[in-house]
Amino acid sequence: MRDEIRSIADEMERRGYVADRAIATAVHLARALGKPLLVEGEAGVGKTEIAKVLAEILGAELIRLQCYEGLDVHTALYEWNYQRQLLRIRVEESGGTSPEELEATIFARDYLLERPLLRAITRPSPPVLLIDEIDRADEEFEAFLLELLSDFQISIPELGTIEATTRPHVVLTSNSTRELSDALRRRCLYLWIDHPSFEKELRILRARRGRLPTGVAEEIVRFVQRLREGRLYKTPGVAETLDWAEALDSLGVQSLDEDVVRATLGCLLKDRHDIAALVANGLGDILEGAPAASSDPS
Amino acid sequence: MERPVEWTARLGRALREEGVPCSVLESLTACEALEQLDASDGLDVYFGLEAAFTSSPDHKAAYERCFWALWGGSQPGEPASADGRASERGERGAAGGGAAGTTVLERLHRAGAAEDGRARHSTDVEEASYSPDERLSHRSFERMDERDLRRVDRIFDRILLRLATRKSRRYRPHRRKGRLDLRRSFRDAVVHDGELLRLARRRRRLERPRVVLLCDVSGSMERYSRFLLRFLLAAGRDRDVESFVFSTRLTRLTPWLSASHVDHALDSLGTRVHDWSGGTRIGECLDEFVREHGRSLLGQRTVMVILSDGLDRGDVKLLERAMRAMHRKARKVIWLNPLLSSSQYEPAARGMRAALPHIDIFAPGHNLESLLELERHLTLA
Repeated sequence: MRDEIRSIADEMERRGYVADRAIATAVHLARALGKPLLVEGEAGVGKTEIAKVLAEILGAELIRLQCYEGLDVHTALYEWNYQRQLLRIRVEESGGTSPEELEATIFARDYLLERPLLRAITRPSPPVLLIDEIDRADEEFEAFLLELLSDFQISIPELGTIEATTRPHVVLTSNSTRELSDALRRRCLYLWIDHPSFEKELRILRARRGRLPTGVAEEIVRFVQRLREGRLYKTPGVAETLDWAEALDSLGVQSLDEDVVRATLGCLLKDRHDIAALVANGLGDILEGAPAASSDPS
Repeated sequence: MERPVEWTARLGRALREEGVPCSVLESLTACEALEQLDASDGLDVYFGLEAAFTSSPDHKAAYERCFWALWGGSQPGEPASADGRASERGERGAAGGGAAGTTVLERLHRAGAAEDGRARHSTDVEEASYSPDERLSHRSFERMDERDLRRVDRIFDRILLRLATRKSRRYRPHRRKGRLDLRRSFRDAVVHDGELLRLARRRRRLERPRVVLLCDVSGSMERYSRFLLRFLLAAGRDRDVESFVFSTRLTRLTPWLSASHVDHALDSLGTRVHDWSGGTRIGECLDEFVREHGRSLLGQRTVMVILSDGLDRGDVKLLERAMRAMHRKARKVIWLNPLLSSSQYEPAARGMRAALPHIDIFAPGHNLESLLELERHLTLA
């Protein structure tokens, strides 16, 4: 393994993020080639976390743009501070400033409100730009983003073109609620994160919930892994495992039994039907090693 | 290893042959990536080029095959045993279809349970507006006689259903109505020396769905397809409706159907479409649709409606792949299967089973009532 990749994996693990080779390699390449990294995977497998940990490792600022439907340029990029401009106009009214001077004054950088994307390319040192849940934004925004990611410059009609002072490290995440355009995929390095294996999940649990007794940690992971084998409406991710572990830890649980599991199942399963089906089919079986029974309606 | 550039080019070519969409651009990225990797370490190169070449979890299996075939000629059984990825991948491969199946079955099931009440209510409302007689609205199209058919046609003609629209989250300026648009108000005021002369307003934009219809016209399906076409054309003369029919081949109907009267159009169709009422090759036809028309017709504005019994004599793998692509790209996929009207029906046909995980709404569409209900689903919501 190349040294840089190993060191990234180590650095990430030191900060509580257990990265397998695929993740470490992708992060290394994204940084080395200066390409955006598109991360996809089920909810709760640690997509967003990659950007946070990367920012910590690089000692860089993390700038986050949370996407939603209807997100537009004025929320993502820049906005003029109209109130301040008006105020300035009022003040200048008595002063006898020429219209040209006034215009130059109120359309200057001082009156520009920076939104995440503009901020990300005008920092003195490269930040980590996290564009979270890009699949929630609509196609128009995606097209705009594509332009920004290829040119790293922004044109503001009143002000002219703003060139990037630095190129941010870009991480995009998607829950695949909608197909992203091929053009965007092309532009990015791609990383798919699966639910972790038993060993990996145990390592994550040890890294993040170190206080937990080893026996309980293993029981927790084994239980969650078996749940994932079953057919659930909403499969628990690592985030749920960590929540559950924390709950069990705070209850001082030394070993899993049916009562404890039933009482805390809400940390793990977030769907009424899943919980009902699981309890009906007997939690004991899963604790003893059978894969979770199907909650398939048929 | 031979020269890296040639090697990556060969990998790119092999991937393309496997149906992974990668161009020269991906190969270039892969070459750049190689310089940042330990080229003697198979796993380094494996994961690095995976990030460069693939762009969807669907590509994983093909990539793994192609990579190891080119790397050493032999495929290591556990390429990533160090961190257990190989076993993860195996599990995913095996469980993938099943897991996806659950979610759709679940959606189907729950949609059915939750909407039973609502559906009944909404048909009540619709019936109140045109009130066809009860008997006609529940009779299967298959059992209708000539007189019934003429009456159904009249009903179709009478109901001028408006295309259900959904308000977009995006706004557009409006002169009088809508919410205040402070941004624009202030901006306009700047021109007038800071006087707020007029308040600008904005409203949410309307989004109209595009309905794409794929009708099976083989054997017993022909009758239902005729009705569905009739219905959709009557329901939206000026809607954005694209229609295709298929059995062994896919035929685009839209050019023949526009402007002319439905009956007239359908009659002339009988002579145009050679395979009207032959055997079925759903997979090939859907695949052709995705390849030939997917780029222009599939998108977040598109509601796909497929009418077929799912009795396929063609390639089920192809069907599955086409459905997956369709489901990922379209807003919604509706499959109408008249067999579903029988209470004993189980989607046992191989084709139908392969398609199920990629369907949002599974409904019968066999009589007037169920078509009217379909109208509710032709939205983007």
